[in-house]
Parts: sequence; structure tokens; C-alpha cells
Amino acid sequence: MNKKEILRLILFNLIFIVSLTLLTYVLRTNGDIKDIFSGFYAEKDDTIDVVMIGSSPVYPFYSSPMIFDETGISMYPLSSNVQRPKAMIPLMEETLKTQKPKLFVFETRMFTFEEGRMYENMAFARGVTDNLKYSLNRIKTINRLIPSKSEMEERMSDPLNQDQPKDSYEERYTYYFDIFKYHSNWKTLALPSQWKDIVYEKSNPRKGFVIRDEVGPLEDDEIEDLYLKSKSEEVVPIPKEQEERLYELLDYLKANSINALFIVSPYHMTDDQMEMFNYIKPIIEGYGFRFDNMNEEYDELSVDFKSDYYDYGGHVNTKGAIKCTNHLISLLKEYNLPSHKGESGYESFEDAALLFRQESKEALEKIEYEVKNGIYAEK
Amino acid sequence: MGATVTSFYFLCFLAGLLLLYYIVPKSIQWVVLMAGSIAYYLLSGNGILIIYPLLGSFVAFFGAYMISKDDKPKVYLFLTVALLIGTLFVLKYVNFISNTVNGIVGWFNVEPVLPTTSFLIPLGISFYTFTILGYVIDVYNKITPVQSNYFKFLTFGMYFAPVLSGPIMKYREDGEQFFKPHKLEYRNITFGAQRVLWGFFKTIVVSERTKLIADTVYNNPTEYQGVFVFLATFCYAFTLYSNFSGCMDIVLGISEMFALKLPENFSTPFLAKNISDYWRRWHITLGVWMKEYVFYPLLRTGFFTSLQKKMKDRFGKKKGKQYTTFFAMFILWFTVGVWHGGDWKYVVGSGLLHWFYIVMGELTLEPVTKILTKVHIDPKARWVDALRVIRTFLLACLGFVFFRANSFNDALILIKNAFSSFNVSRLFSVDIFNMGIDPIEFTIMLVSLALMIFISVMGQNGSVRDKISKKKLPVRWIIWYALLFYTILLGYYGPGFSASEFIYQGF
Repeated sequence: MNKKEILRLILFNLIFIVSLTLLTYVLRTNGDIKDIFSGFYAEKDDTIDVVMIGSSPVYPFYSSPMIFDETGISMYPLSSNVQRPKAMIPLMEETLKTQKPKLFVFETRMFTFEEGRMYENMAFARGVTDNLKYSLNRIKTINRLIPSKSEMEERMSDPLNQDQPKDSYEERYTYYFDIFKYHSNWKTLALPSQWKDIVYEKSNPRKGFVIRDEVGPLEDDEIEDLYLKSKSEEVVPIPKEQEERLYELLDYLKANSINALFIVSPYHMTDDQMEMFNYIKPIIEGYGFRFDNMNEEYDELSVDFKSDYYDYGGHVNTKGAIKCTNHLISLLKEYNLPSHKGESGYESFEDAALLFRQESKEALEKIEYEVKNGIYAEK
Repeated sequence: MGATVTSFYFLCFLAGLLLLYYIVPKSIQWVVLMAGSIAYYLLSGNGILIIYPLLGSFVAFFGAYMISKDDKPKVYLFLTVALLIGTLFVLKYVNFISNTVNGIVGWFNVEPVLPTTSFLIPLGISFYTFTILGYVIDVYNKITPVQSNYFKFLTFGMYFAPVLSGPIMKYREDGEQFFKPHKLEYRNITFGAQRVLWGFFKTIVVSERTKLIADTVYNNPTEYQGVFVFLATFCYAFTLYSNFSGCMDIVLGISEMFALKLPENFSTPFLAKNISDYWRRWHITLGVWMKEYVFYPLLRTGFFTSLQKKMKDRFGKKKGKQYTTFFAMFILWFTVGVWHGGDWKYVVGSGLLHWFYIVMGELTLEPVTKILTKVHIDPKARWVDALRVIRTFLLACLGFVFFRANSFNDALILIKNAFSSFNVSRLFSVDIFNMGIDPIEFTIMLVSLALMIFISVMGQNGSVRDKISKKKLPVRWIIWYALLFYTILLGYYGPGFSASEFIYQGF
């Protein structure tokens, strides 16, 4: 093989690899999470002050456009459904590649979940891994989040996981090369919106916030019970593996002198969860970080479980989001973050704020109408 | 790792082995192949079963050595053949005999008299056994060089690429190239990779789609009639062809990347004009092997020589010879059927039915030609040939009914159902999309099938890859990228999809 032939082979393969990478970005399943991550990559370097990391109690709860509108602080959520605490450090590292946030906010609901239970649907792990751009950090994230086949078999043999579907496991290589998963989405190539993700930098007009305008209320007895739970001062340890993850995260933050705020969004907690939050509070505060459990502050937040949630106490609609965002704003104010209002480079945040004002108004009207007429979301 | 050559892990294994093959000194390239083949065997399933090909190769090697050295070669030939065939027979066909005997006594309401057993069968036993057996017989016939190094022989006998589905190699033609030094050639790598890609296209794009229709009908034989049985059977014909020939393309492509040229196993079989022609185009190496090592030796036996003499005395020279040949062919086709699997559906569908076709073809050749001439039809006319091609395809399809059906009884039900209803019009209704495939997938299936047939026909007039390689660089790159992305996007693979194994892997 002569030099020319070697070059030709290299070039052919290089074009193939680049094309396949871009094609995979396009083919990755469309939806809110893809838009959130792709939107994050589209943000200009060093323009985000606050990055919020956590699972689903992030993107419908806290409106970055509203925060910017009211304070000039630029915030972006790197959130995905059932995002495991194991993903927090990799997501911080991903953030630090292009941004220098002055504060990381961590939503800690998932620290109360058994790690094993989160394997139930590996699509949740893909929410993180398959929304990252190809990089060494992505490989590290996959190695961290996806158990090898033997580890998985060991976990599945645990009585705790006996009821979990055994066929939900997908081998690691299908995460490294996610074309294995997404090639069957080829029909979405017909959607022009998918092609905007070709370099995985599609500006997100809502800055990661997802508007919800349905209503799913809690029953009176459930609310009463929840208020009782929220007053509990009992302490129950979080799952061992999550405690290790929490210490790992706290040590990482300390070692890298990163400022952080830990929060729990208000929701319909299960029996032990309030006690678990009581357990982690002193641990976090011991490291010098603030921990704010909004479940202790239903009245201050003026949260209404009859009209502020779209899925019966799990996640807030826009009405609830405005309340939670207001509370977050009051917390952020303590960190002396700069206002970027009117600053060049933040025009997209100004646009997002304007869009939020319009969309939230419509959403609030719809919510009000549905509450009034008892039109509720499907359970 | 999984045995199948389309798996991700296999491709990684292949890439590693290829790299090693070309960076080690050329004198020990064959050692890399041997180590790779052993590793493949160990990683592809039950590793302990490697004992079978290791011992089988040793028996063949030692047998051939003794045949070449000793003055009683026949004894060693008999012992070697008995050991190799005996192992194959015990592992694969004992249950066939038990089931047959038990089935027969069952007709008389007698309880099963023979026990059935279940052996762990080593990968590709039929293929490597035939490959090494051919070598032993060739040594006996003094038409092949004797390999004096066991490890070299093992490299040939256990070579990983064809071990699962063939082709069946001949040492005298394919053996020595394994031990020659091979330079890294651009052509070998690119042409090999292109052929592998074409194999992937056939298997994961075409075969997996046509299979959906075939499976829907064949797994519910009582629910489909008329045109649906025909459609499913045609789909199965293309499933089998694209699966098997696709696998061969991958195997031959891989070998080409190692600078090894393996024998072709297919040559547009569905364009055959008669069944004999079909078998010269379908699973070519099995046909050649059977002819060379079963059929001709059979005709040379004392029994057949004396039978031929008696037949000639009774029916005349020509007919006598023909009838004797038919009888030998019966044994040949029975063996072919049994080779495909220990079940009567294979014996009939891939064996005796084809024997019947060939015999009928021979017997009717003369009268049919006479009739054609009488009615002023040129037997060599192109349209007559076209009709012959269609006829041969339909006859082959009848064999596929037995081959694919879940049982011999199911095959009979399907044949009955095929002619029980004339419902061609339903082929153009939405019913067709209730056969496991939606309209878009159906369209992709047709387009891909058309592409496969077009390229296969083009290949009859010389290598398509050669033709493409003569085009300008941008044109040929566009062609290969198009095929690459077509296969990547439209192939059936990945999580949530369990690709079926290569059909011939089970034989």
C-alpha cells in the first residue's frame, strides 16, 4: 500500500466518521431533553452564571427566562428525567468545558432513590449519555452510568430488583455508538427541525424551561398528609450508594472550589423522603453549602397542590413554576450574581424572557380555566 | 462475543486481528490466523467444545499422514472417515434416527422405542468436518500435497471465517495460500471491505425484511391461503438467498482482507434454467463436495459397477447407465437432505424433491424437445429460457416450503392452503400490510430487493466492484457512502432487535 492509498483510506474513513457523528446527532430522538442539551451547547461560551443539575423536578419547575427577566441572571438547566446523582459530576465537567458558572444548583430528589431501581428504564440513562456531544467525558459518563453486562446480571439477581424487566438492559457499546439505538429513527430525517441538531447546537428559545399548562390536583387527604410529612423532623438515611455519591460530589465541589446550592423542589413526597432530606441537610451544610428544602416552605411558597401541578403532585405546571422560580430568585440573590440585562451577548435571554411572558400568560389562563371547570390531566 | 459475523464484537475482533496480521512478520501471519480462529471459537459460545475441531483436525492430519506413509492407506482412510463422520453422525443425526423409528412405531400406537439425546454441538461441525474430510480423501487419491505441520493444518481446518456457514474449502485449492506471506494491499482491504458491506446490506436490510412476511405466514400455517402462501414462500426464497449469500459475501470479504481467496458459493441461482443448473449456482461448494466425495466414489464402488452392468443388460447401454446414475443420485440427494438437518422436512425439501426434479428433467428432456420442435418452437429461444427460469424458481420454492415450515405436516398444510383459494386480488389490498410489515417497510423491502437482484445480475458479466473501481474517485465514493449509510440507516440491528442467526449456521 503506497502513501497515496493510505491517505485515501484515512480520508474515506474520516469523512465517514464525521458524517456518522453528525447523522447520529440528527437521529437522536427528538423531544424536550434533546432540546435542553442541544440548547445548552448553543449558548455562547462563558455566558451562563448558574447551571442547574437534576432530574425532572428542574426543567418544568424553574424558568430561566423569568429569572433573567427579573434579575438579569443567566441560568440554564442541564436536566433529564430520572437523572441519577451519578451523572452530576460528569455534567459539571461537561459544563466547565464551555462555561464558567459562578454557581451550580443541584436538585436532590434523586438522592432518595435506590440506584438499582433506576435501571428500570435505561432510557433515563440515555437521557444523559445520548444528549452529550461525543467526547472523552461522554465515554467516562457512560462508563459511570451504564453497568457492564456482568454488573447488571449481578444487580438483577438482587431481590430488590427481581420485579424489574430483565430485557431493558442495553449493552454499553450501544451507548458509545448510539447510532445502534437511533438508526431506526431514520423516518425523522424528514423533519427539518431534526437537521438543526446536526452539530448539536440548536438554540433553545426557552433556555431549557418547559411550559406545562395542564392541571392534576392532589386530593384533600393527600395534601393534609403531605403537610404532616413535611413537618417531620425524623431522620432516615438515604440509600448507601447515593450517600457515597453525595460525599463524592461534595468533595469534588470542595476540591475544585466550586460554589453550590442544594435544593429540593416541592412535591408529593413518599413516606420516607422528607426524613431522607432531613438526613442529607446537615451533611451538605457541613461542607458549607446551603440546603433548601422547599417542602418545608409550602406556605411561604404559597404552593397550591390543587392547581399548581400537572401530574398530581409530582411536577409543577407554569403556575407552580412561577412560584418555585420566585423562591429560587430569592435564594440566588444571596450569591451576588451579576445582572446581564441590556448587555451584549445576552440578546437570546432577552428574547426568551419576552417569549416566557407571552407563553406563561397563555398557560396561566388555560390553567385557570381548567381548574375552574375541573378539567384535569390524565392520570 | 457471539458467533455471528454481523455482531459488533465480531467486527471489533476482526479489526484487531487484521491489524495484528499485517504488523507481525509475514512468516508468522498464519500463526495469527490460527490464534484468531482459536480465540473466535473460545469466545463464540461454549469454549470447551473447541475440543471437537482440535481433535477432528488432529484425526484428519494424522490419518492423512499415515495414508501418505503407510502401505495400507485404505485402512487409515476408513478409520479416519469413520471417526470424522461418526462424530458428526452421533452429534447431529442420532436423534433423527430415534425420531424416525419412534414416529414409525407410533403409527402402530406403540410407545417410543428409542431414546432421544441432546448433545452440545460444536460450531460449524458440518462445515469443518467436510473441509478436513475432503483433504484426507484427496491425500488418499494423491491429488493434494500433504501438510506435515499439524498447526498449519489446524489453521486451515479451523479458519474462523467460513467455520459457521462455509464455503467448504479444498486443501488442494485453498490450503497453501494460508501459509504464504501476504503484503498489505490496498485492493485487498478495500475490495474485501466493500464485499463485507454488500453482505451486510443483503442480510440486515433485505433478508430481515423479507423474513417478516415469511415468518408471519409460516408461523401461522392454517391462517393463510392462496396468494399469501405464495408471497410468503417467494419472500422466504429471497430471505434464504440474501441471508446465506450475504453471509458468504461477508466471509469472502473478510478473507479477501486477509489476502485469502475462498471459493464462491453462489452464482445467481434464481436465474438457473433447470434444477441441475440451480445446484451449480446455489451452495456451490456443497454440491461440488458431494459430487466429488460421495457421488463419484459411489459410482466406482463394486456394487454400482455390477448394478450398472446388470442394468445395461436389461435396459440397454444408455438407459442402463442412466438408471444406475439415478439410483446413485438418490443416495447423493438423500445425503444432501440429511446434511441440512436431522429432519424429514430437510430430507424431502433439500434432498429427495430435488432428486425427483432432476430425474424428471432428464427423463422428459427428449420428449419435451421433440414436442417443442413439432410445434415450431425453438427450444433455445430466449423466451423459452425465461420460462425455464421461472419454472426452476417455482420448483425450488416448493422445496423451500419444506425447508422453512416448522414441521413436515406444516409444509403439507401450506401446500394445500396455497391451492385452496384463488385470492390474487387481495394482494393489492391492505391485507398485505397485515403480514408483519407496514407500507413504508414494504416499499423499502421492494427497493432493496430490486437493488440486490440488479447488482447480482450485473455481476454475471464481471465483478461489479471492478467496474466501480474504474470510475472516478468522487463517483465511487458516492456509491460506497450511499450503500454504507443505506445499510446503517435501514438495517435491522441494535438494542431491542434480536437479529436472527445466519440460517445455514445451524447446519
